[in-house]
Amino acid sequence: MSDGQVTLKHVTKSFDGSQFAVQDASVTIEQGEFFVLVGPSGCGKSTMLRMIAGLEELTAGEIHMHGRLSNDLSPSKRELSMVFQNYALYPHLTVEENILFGLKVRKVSKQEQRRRCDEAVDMLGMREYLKRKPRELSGGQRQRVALARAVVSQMPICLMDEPLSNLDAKLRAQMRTEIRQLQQELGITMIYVTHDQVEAMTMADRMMVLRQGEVQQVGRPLDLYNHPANDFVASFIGAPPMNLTTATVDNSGTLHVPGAPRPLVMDQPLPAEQEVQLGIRPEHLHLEPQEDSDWELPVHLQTVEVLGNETLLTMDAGGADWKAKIPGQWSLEAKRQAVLYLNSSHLHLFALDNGKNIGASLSAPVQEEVTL
Amino acid sequence: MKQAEELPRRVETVDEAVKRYRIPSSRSFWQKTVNYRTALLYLLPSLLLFGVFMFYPMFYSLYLSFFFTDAQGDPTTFVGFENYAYLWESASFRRSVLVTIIFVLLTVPASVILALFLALLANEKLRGIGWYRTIFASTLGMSVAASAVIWLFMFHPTTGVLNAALQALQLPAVSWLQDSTMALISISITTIWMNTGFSFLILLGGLQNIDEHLYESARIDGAGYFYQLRRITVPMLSPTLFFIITITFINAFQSFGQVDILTGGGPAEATNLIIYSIYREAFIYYQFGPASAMAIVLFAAVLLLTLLQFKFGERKVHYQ
Repeated sequence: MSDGQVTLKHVTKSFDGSQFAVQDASVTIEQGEFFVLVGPSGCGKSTMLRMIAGLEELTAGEIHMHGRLSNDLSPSKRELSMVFQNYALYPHLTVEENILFGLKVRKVSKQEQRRRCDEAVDMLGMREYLKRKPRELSGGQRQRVALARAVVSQMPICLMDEPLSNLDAKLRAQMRTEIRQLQQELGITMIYVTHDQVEAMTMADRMMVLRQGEVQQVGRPLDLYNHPANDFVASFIGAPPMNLTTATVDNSGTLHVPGAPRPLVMDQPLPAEQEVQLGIRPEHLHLEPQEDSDWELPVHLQTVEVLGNETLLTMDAGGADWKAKIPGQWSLEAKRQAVLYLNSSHLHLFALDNGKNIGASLSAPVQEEVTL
Repeated sequence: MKQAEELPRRVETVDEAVKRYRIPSSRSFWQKTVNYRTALLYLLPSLLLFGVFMFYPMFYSLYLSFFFTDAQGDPTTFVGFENYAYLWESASFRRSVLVTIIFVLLTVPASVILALFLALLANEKLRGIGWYRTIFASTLGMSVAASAVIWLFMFHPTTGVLNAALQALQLPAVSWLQDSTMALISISITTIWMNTGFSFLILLGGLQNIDEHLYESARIDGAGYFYQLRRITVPMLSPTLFFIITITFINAFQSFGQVDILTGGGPAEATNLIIYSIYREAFIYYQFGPASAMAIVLFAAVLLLTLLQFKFGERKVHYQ
């Protein structure tokens, strides 16, 4: 069974014939999968979604839906539903009429309409709003109407284009969970576009990171988090983003980090006299030596923000702006020197020119205790 | 650790808050009304213009409609509702009313439908559509007199382009302005043509305001063009359509220039719209009393019909 499966093969889109909106994207989205397209604005994620919906034509490549080549299939024949960023509710119709619009178009029987509407309305807790117009609803309620519309269509694929971006932070967190639950209950394939990496991380089975039309990496959220393919993914996923700084490889293959008293050794040789990017997640930095700490970096603290359960530090680490996220409440003075302790296995190395993850693992050579 | 400060007891009701904590304002009456006085100052020019050129003539017409007047238009004798009674008796006026109603029925629906059709065409995203938008809107920039003269030439029985076209198609020539039935139709055609530019422009603006996503959503549901037109475009456009219908309707009652230039109310009063008969009564026959009465009747009729339109038509309008 390939119902609900979507396969992109070398999908390419250009609006002006010279620049890529989407460049050679290939992926297979499995039935029942929650697949998130994520990237900064203008990265081509919405364009890709619209191509899957059939609202936008492909410049090159193939789209297979439900196992069939679907390049020339009209949107209504692709057996999908779509939730738009602004919900696209018909302002002149009541909630109920909005929910049933698609079913009426498809000439579903009155009884069946009733049944599906009841089901969706109960699922989303919308019963008391059925007779209202969209303008009388709050943002979250409108969002639910849009979801209900997708639910009643009973299509095996649902596309969502930044559905949560018009909601406030609290509601967004709640709807994230609801949408995820809904998708699992219905067992449908979800293709979800967002610019918010938190949504991507929390909701996705797998995600695709896009940048300027180019696919950066496809994979499970934690794989992307732990093993970013390049510096872009590294800094895009995670909040605060991964800290990066430029380091130099010397003749003997050791790595010199500006400001660091001890060099690092790599397990694989790199061409000498080369500059690379060194990256580390903010939560892997500590103000006190931990059991597994094997390397340290003196920094200059800039600001200290106490968030209640954690403390956020910004600092100057050998010329680069870094952030550290430290559990607990630390009342520190800003504008002073400090030492960060870390485990060198948490470090990532990226090439300076194309940003690719070099994949080398680092270790700190055991030395006499250095007094700082 | 320091404890959070304990809050003092709060007032429980608004009344209590007012009683306990309200302090007298230090602003004087003069200071408090400064916004109103500024507003009045901004309103003054338009109030003045409306007063002199709209309200004063309106009330003076009402006043004159109860008098006999001399040739200068000064009231001479108070006659009460005599002028209105005279209108009621006048076959010519009743004929005018009938002609006006037919004229309105001929022009309003046709104008709106034509403008909507052109707006739908011009709303498509095609290469060079800006050119068509300009052309379709161009009658907006034409004066009534210029348009009427252009049509006068086109309607000419022997040298006009319309009859030339009919002839080329082997069809009999039409006496556009000379025939008493055709004359009203000809005037209506001219009026529809003149109305198109404005209505087109407003409707096009309305169409462009409709969220593109609504159509995309409908396409995903499988709705065809006409289903979308009926279930999305027309309801979404209804405030604009209502506005256009109201304006076209009021304009139709006030169509004067094209009648004056094309037919002069003829032949045999076949195109003698109320507004034109007011003009004739007042400025050709110097009967200012009956003319004022007609003007008041016309005003009342338009007002009433517009109010009815708002009462019944607006129910079908979906404001966002």
